[in-house]
Amino acid sequence: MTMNNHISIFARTGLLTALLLMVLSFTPDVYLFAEPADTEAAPLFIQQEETAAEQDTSAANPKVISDKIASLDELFSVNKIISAVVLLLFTFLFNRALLFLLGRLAENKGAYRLIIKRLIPFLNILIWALAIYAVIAGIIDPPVETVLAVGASVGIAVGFAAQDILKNIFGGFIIIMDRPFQVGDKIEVGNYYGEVTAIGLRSTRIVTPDDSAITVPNADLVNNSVSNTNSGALFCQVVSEIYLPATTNLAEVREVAYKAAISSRYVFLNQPVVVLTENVLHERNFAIKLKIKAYVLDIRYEFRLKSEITELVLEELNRRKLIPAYTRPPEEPAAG
Amino acid sequence: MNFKDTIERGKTLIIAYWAKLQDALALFLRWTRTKLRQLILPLQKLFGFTVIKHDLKSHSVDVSSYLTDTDQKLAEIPAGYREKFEVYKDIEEDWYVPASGNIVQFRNALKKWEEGFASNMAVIGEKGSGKSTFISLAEKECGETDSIRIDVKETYWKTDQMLTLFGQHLGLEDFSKPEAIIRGLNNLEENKVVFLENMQNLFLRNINGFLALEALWLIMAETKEKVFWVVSCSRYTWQFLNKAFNADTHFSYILNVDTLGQPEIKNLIMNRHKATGFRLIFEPDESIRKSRAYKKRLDKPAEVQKYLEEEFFERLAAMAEGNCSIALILWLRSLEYGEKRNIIVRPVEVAVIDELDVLTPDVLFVIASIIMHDTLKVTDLTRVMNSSVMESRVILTKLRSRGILHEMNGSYYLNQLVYRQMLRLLKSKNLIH
Repeated sequence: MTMNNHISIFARTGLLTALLLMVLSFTPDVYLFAEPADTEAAPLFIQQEETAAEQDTSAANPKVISDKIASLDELFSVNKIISAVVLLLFTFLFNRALLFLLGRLAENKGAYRLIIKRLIPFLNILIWALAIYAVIAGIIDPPVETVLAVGASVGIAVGFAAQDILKNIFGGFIIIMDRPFQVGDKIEVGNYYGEVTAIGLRSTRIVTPDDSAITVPNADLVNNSVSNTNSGALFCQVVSEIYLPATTNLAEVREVAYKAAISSRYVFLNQPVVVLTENVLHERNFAIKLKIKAYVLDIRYEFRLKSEITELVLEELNRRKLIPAYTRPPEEPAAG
Repeated sequence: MNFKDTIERGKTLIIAYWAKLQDALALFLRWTRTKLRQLILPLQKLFGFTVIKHDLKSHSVDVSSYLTDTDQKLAEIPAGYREKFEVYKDIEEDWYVPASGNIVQFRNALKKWEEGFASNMAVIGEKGSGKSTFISLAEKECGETDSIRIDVKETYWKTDQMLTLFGQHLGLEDFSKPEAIIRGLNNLEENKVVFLENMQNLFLRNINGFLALEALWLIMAETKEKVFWVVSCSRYTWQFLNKAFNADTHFSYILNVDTLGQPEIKNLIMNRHKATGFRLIFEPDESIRKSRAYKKRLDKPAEVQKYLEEEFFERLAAMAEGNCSIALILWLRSLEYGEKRNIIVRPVEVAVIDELDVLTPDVLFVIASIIMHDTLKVTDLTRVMNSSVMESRVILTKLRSRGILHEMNGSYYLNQLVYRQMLRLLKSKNLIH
């Protein structure tokens, strides 16, 4: 069973629960959580008969209706709406400012860059959750029945109209809790590879090496295989691949490749440099695939390390004439 | 006094009060602004909002003024006193403070080699940490065994350059190949101790820059029984060679000379100071002045001085991190010549380099290379960075003009006054690991 099925089942179960809650909340005399003290002695069928009678009376009584309207007016008074809007606006501004400052702090404190950036999605959700709680519990302060009714209505609306969004939001929660990758990591998902710059509730943003920002829905990230290059560390492995003729002197090539890797300024030598060779068939000819596995000291220099190693190896192999002439650039004419 | 006068007097009073009020308001505003600035500046710094100007003169104020100030301070100290603290000068044996009994270890290793245990030794330490001084003292320990000292002053990364140097110092006729050197050394009638200084100059971090070093490994391995090799190497070169070539497997003994603790740093300075005949007066900084530990000793001046001395050396040792030349230069920088052969010791000050606009990633890579090689010439840097001569020259000249690098005979090296701060910065960015 895929994660997508899990989410669908989760969403549908949520919908059903919301429906049930709504039905229950509109029948106020069926007590969900506790029975009132004075009903202890009365048999259940008598209670139900009495409540049915009261319901009829209240439905017919205009005073009761006007009371309910008045209580609704009180619940959503202008003051409360303004307070809620102000609080949400303040939360929005505070959240933006805090996230901006954390972003600056992360860039300013290189050693803690990834740790600080990982905090950002958590804080984002925490701040909004607190703000919504403050609006509901502190400002509007509705009765439990209303919360259930509104919750159920919203649940149905969201469930029917925005199943995909719901999937993405659940996906976002799963990513934040399960942490298959974090902000600052380099990941590969589908055809895209890049640095994770933001993990939101609906989508995750990655920036590719050619500086394109890609927004990937969280549901896709949960349903597909994601390859994480550095898993939270500042360094990551870089593999440079070079194809050589099968007749090349491999011992010499390996030495050149190793020295090229350790000579690069971008290499992180606390991790090993490994040179591997593989025999491959290329256009009906055997060829050697040279793989140089080295770690880069900061993921931001990943492509520079790859490029530098490739350049150094090819330059040296050409200088030593270890690559056949037809693959080498023409030699410069002798002076004079 | 008539009514008109009363009015005039009232007016004068009002003007005077108004002026006083304006004055008080202006003072209050100034005070508020100062306090706010004090509060905001550290926050700006923390979040990286400090304006980094690209004008060469404007932002170098901290380091430049620190360095200028240092020159001025050093010039004010009596020459006789200053001479005792010169970093690159042979010192008296009594002044040498070894790290954890290194000389004893050398003596034991030499004895074992003389008894037939084929071995060699590496002496590791940061630039200016006393490797040469250790070798000078070790030379005296050799007794009757013949010893030769080879100082690799320039970068010799080609095999033939190194072989020529060896051939000249060892008095060998044939030094065309490593095998010839091996043959020559093994045919010597008497055993020898060879002190090879600055092994970091026998390589360049370049794809072809390890040839001389590989030849050295071979020569050492093949001549261990006849020659006791004592090789000194800079700390960060050693770390690199260890990771890239397992350098430690080529040596039987490894001595670290840059591990001086607080007591050793204090001895190092006080041994020299005692020879000068000056009297020291330690001064507290603002944080110590406010501390209870300081205040409660105020009635006993001798105890105050003792406390300040301890505090001073604790901070100095923390800053020097075992490197004696850094400790010596920071000591000299803290001094001020007083009256009647008194020398006032001010609290240790260090230059802040983190916000320098000149320290771009490319420049930091250059500085990391210089720290790894100790010194580099323009052409060597070009090979290390795989860049053009022009690019290397521009960066080196820029850093020299800012006081971060010094230049001697075309070789560039890091200013000891910013050595520790620069190392910390590079380590925080994973450039030195």
